[in-house]
Amino acid sequence: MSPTALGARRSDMPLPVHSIQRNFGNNTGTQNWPAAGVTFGAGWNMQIGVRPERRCVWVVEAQMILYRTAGAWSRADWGLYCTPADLNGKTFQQAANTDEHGGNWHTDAMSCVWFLEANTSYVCDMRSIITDAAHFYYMSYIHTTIVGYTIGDGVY
Amino acid sequence: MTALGALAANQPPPVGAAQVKRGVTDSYTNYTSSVAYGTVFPDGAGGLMQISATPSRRCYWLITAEMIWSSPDGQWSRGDWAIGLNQADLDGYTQLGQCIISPHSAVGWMSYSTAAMFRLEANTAYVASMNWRYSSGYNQQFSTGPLWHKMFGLLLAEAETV
Repeated sequence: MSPTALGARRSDMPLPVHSIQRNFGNNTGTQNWPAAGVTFGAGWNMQIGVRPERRCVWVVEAQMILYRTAGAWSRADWGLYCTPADLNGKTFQQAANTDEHGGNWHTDAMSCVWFLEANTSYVCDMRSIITDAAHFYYMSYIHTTIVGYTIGDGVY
Repeated sequence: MTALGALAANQPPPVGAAQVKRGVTDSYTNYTSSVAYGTVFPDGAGGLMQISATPSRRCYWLITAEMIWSSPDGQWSRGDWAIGLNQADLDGYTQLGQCIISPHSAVGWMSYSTAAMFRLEANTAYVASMNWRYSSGYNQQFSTGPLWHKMFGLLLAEAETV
């Protein structure tokens, strides 16, 4: 994006202040639940990145579908990680799933807000936290996604 | 509309448009495999769970939605819903954020949420809706109460998309 002087913009239109990040699953289907610390996507890497020009807030929304093999209950956790740590020292948020559900697929979604430093490259990824061999997730554009936007750029 | 020159120079400009739709009153309907694919969810008072936008420039449209689901059946089952558009966006998407629910009568009500981000053409009227997609069998049921039946939209990065 090239900077544009405000004077060149119409006064009756909104200014572009957000930046957008999107990553949709690559339609490779059912995947094993990864080991703790590994990014989801089986090589596709379910992550987004941003390098803001000013301090800002980064809102991230992520979701996936998962199932656990029928017959017993067990737990598999995942989270959204921010690398490096944001200005509040936060590095991850965690979602817990204790499932049996008769072996049915179901959605798990989470959102988070990071507070970013200017001129710093950040990555937010969907990462396994507790692994479980009986759990699986699914890669597709319509079920497993991570999207983000910056807001409040320069306000802090 | 306010000219930029009238805005304070030390404050961010007001940008983006937001859309909000909530359920109105509690009502319960069983959704099954006989309900048509694409059926838009009701708001409990004769309306539909949908929002609309006609952006003046190309932009992204982030939509988040939340529901609660249960089932009267003592069996695990599956039901799918999604956020749909009335016409394809600039990337060809007409639905995103397909959410799969898995209810059981012994579990009771559970919350499910989803998010979708479409890329919109300027000066084009779009309608986004929460709609039904699929049932594996048995009954799936949601409430239209305003506390848990809702969708929010935000127009983002206007004019910065290609």
